Amino acid sequence: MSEPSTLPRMPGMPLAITGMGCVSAAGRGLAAQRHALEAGLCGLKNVPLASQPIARSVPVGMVAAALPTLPSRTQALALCAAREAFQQAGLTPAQASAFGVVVGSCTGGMPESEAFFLNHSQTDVSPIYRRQHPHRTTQMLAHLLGVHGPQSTHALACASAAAAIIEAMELVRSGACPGAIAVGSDALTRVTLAGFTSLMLVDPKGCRPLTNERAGMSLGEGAAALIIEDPAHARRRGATPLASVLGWGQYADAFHLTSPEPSGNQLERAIHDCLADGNITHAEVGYVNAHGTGTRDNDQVESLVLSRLFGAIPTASTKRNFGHTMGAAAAVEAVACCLALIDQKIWASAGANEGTPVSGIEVLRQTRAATPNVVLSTTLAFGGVNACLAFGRGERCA
Amino acid sequence: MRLSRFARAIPEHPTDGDTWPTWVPTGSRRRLDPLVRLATAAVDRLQQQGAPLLPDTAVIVATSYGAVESTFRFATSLATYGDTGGSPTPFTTSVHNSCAAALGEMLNLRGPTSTISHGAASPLLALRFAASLVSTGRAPAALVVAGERHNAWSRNVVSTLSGAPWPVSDGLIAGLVEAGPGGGRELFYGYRNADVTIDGGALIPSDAKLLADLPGKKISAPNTLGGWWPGCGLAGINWRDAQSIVVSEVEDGRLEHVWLSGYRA
Repeated sequence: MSEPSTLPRMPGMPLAITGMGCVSAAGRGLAAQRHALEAGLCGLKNVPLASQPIARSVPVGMVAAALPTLPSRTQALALCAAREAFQQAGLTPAQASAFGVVVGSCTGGMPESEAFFLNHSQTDVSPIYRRQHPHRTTQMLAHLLGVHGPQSTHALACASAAAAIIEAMELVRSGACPGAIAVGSDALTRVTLAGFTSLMLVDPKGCRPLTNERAGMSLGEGAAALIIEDPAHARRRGATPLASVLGWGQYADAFHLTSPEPSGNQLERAIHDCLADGNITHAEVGYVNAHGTGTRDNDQVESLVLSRLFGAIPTASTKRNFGHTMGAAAAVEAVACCLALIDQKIWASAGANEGTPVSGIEVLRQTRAATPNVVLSTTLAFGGVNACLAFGRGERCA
Repeated sequence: MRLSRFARAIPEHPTDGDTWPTWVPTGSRRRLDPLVRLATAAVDRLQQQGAPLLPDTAVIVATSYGAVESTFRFATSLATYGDTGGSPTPFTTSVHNSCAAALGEMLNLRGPTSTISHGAASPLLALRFAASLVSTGRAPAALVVAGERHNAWSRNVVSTLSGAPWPVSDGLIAGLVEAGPGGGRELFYGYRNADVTIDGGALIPSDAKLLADLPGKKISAPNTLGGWWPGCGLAGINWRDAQSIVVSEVEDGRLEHVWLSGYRA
């Protein structure tokens, strides 16, 4: 067992999720995500794009849907998801004005800036480089959605969106704003694909998370947005929570830049903290959306910790549905968790039928009806980051 | 909430980044990005001001450009050798949170971590997030490291695009956010009246007007530091001064403020 947390954790306020939006390799909109999750569809494909030479030989989760015209693809993905979430939340412009916006993104406008860098002299300077910064997405959303509350932008590798959701929660809990839109967004970049290829972490057959035959990850792109709101504020404006976000936990391994600490002790502490924050008992957790990248080390640590804490808990990874959407992943998977709670189903782990599921947990081979009270989403990231988010049904925050 | 310790490292200073703190493993030094190297200088000064940092201390880094030398080296390797010939080491150290990860690993800090990348406002938003983590009991303290470390390529890009009236410079600040009684400066995210306002300068006239309209005595940090970088407003603090300070930054037409009381031993 891991060392106990040194700090007592009092439960935090459960918050309402009143709107969601998502765009991924599965398509644009919640209906497309729901369909891919329900059917366990693989969203990975080889793409013959000059801008992505490696994607001709390894499958990726690329968004084919039409996107709004904006200075960067990451911004376009973000706006797509955010607009859907705003529409679902039914916020008036006056209500939206006080909301905060927190974005998680690894790569920002890198697809555009890398294209310029790789095709020009190093002494050439283009305004395209301004788009590179992750916060340009935050500012674009604030302007186009009319959201004038607190802002922030987290670049925490694959946990960027988890950090954005965490800060959005804390901004609302502290009363800094009545609600916040938390967005994760990342476009597929040549640098990212080449980088993970250089680390020999990409499975040329497409990722097979949580199986013994797993041989690496598959990259993807996408965006997801959650409207996180003070339940009292949601009630006052007549909004019905779709789901609730109950708690979070986060600890670092302080072990290695790219490898998780094998015991998973800090991941376990993050889950404990998340449960305490959400006032959740172990027995209430009915399903886990694992980070499940398909790499040997990640899936080993996650399955070890989850089985240690929950036994044969139903678990799935969405990485074969969507590809690993990097900085957007935790937001995309938050949407998957909320859809599970809304639909009262637990999703198949796409790719589980391509091999032998790892032992200790129940890797879901088929989507099935279930009535989970609480769904957890775990996220591991470069730099030894371990995060856990807990989601409940809408009535939990009523 | 208070900023209990504060230090800065500016590369023009002959010792910043030229010597290694003893806690940086010899075997790691060759691979560390210059941003991390400069961060170790700032954090080492902070460490020397008090007891060792507690293991669950949070690590929050604020940087807009990140580990730019690593990013540049990896992108250059792609330009030279093609997409399957990239060098893995600069790729791993190019990740935006690599500085926070390296500091956490070297100092064995396991609390919550993130890297805020929000332009000129990044350092102030990092202080806000750090204060939130400490005030809610998520961490006993939060180490905040904020600033930039350019290479020749990024310095040229920023100088060309910013149009700033100051030379583009770089440097880092390190601060420790703690709750409860003790020395240092009381910290409040937001605007309160203060003896002095320090700003990070402004890149465009409308931003400059926003800063100029703030009441009271004002200091523009780039003038005192010889250059501009996100975080230079905080670097302009005279730590042991008794005057209360508002540090202001403008990003995209928004004013962000952190108020600090006068220093108390």
